[in-house]
Amino acid sequence: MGIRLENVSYSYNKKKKGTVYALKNITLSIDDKDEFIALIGETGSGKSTLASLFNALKIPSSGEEYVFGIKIQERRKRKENYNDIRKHVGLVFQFPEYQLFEETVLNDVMFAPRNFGKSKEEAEKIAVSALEMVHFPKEMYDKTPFTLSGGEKKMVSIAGILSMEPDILIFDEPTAGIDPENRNKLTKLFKDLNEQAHKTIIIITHDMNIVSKYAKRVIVMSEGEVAFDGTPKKLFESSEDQIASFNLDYPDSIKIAKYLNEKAGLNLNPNQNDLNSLIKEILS
Amino acid sequence: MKNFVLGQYMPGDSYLHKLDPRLKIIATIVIMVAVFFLKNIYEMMGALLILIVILLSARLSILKVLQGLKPLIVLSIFVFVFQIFFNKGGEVLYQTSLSFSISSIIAIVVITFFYFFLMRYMKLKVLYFFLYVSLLFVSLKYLLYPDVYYSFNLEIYEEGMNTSLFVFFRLITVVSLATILTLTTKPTELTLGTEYLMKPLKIFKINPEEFALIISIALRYIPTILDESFKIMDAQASRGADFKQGSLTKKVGQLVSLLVPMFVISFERSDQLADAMESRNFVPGKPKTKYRALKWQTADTISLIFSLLLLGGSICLYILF
Repeated sequence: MGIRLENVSYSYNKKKKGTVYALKNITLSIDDKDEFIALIGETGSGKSTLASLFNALKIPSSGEEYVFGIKIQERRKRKENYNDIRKHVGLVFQFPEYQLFEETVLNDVMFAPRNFGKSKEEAEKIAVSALEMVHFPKEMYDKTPFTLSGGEKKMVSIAGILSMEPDILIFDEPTAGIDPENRNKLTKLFKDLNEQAHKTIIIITHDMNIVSKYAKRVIVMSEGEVAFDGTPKKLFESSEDQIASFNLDYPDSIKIAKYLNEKAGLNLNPNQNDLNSLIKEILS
Repeated sequence: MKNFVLGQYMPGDSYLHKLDPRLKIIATIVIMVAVFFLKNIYEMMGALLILIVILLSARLSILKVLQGLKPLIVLSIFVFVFQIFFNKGGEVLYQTSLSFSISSIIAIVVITFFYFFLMRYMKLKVLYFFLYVSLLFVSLKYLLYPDVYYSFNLEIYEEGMNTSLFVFFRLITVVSLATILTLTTKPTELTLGTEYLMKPLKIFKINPEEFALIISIALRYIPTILDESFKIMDAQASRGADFKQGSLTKKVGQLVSLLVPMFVISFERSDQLADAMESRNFVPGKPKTKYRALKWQTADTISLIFSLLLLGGSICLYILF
């Protein structure tokens, strides 16, 4: 189960000849639990398009895609409803302004469970627990979402998706434009969701520190194709030219280790998950 | 949405492209007025010929202009059918009796079914529609088995035929003129032209510059806002409010979740735009220099004379005949 793509291509304009494909021949499979995937690549490489394929917002131009056993295609059987897929695969967009609309924060978070047929009381209960998960202060539940700061809006929008209780969660650049404290809270939330609730987390990010510290699997997109699919360790061990050709950066820990090796003549293992393990290595 | 031709600019360097936008706006209005002075189908044919000459001088593909006429199809078919059936003057041109029988009703149902079934595979939808209508006609006329329940006479009169063609062609001509104007003129030039032409409105305390600015900003933000609305729809769809499916009442309820963010984003955008303009020293109402100054050339004068001649000619025809 989960998501399976076979030779999927996608182009934005369908009919014309000589179309430019946003995604080309992508073959992937993603499990519905315990995965922690970082989807990286330069701007315009097709990360966001791929993410919207995962929850059937976009439909493949060619190739086969199955999400939780349902084939995603233009002509579907009347009974099949892609809403059910979106219940399983939650996608948090980059800009929270696009989804907040209710009068109060709590009502807004209740929107998704209400759409999926939960009663008002149930929805409220789910919404409160989702807001607690993102550590949103209780006294602000009745505020209008539009008066919140950017970071708070983001938290509410994430809670709005968590309230659907999806199996797979996709975050489109969740840490962009968020202060360090909230960023740490968010990454901790991702970790908890992954390790305790056994959910599959997919994050689109440019932050290599998050990639090396948390991700169990990295998918690198380059010009609409999957250029790399494997563990972060393997990615950062590959040659520097390769990393440069993907237009990627190294995480801080690796940069520092390499710098120390070069300048101070140390012999550190450059492949460190995060700064803590690097410090341990230096001290030992 | 993106195939919308009316109001779209096609780059080129033809005679028409190089003309002054002020002239083009005036000439379009003048020729449109001239078209409305025409009285019968033969004069309208002449107007169509002139239209084709203008089209050729713009070096636009006729297909592109026809695409611009697409939104008019329903209206023109309606006008055409209405005139042809209900205008009963002059001689009878064609007469036939159409009848409903079991076989013709079955044929109609089958044809309609196939029409809707095959619709999505068809490329030329309009031609396909005509094929459908003529098939219906044939089945109504010839399938009389086993007996006729109800039959009626279809009569087409000379005047009905003439007026329907006349109205149809007039519609096409007028809309094509407007399409040619927007296809050959950049939006910026168009607003600049309107700005100049609205200068006399200063007497009524309307500032043409501000008005032109409003128009150009509005035009500029149509694609942006359209894009934004798609993003909002995606975001709400991933929260279970899919606008592409579900019952109508459900859709109306979900409309709120689209409209509220749209308003919020639009207000935010306009705030940002105002700040950006002010930080570049824009002061409303103060005189500005132009980046592109409009220049009136001999070609413009010639074109103006040409269009005025057309107007004069059609007025002459109106008075004389």
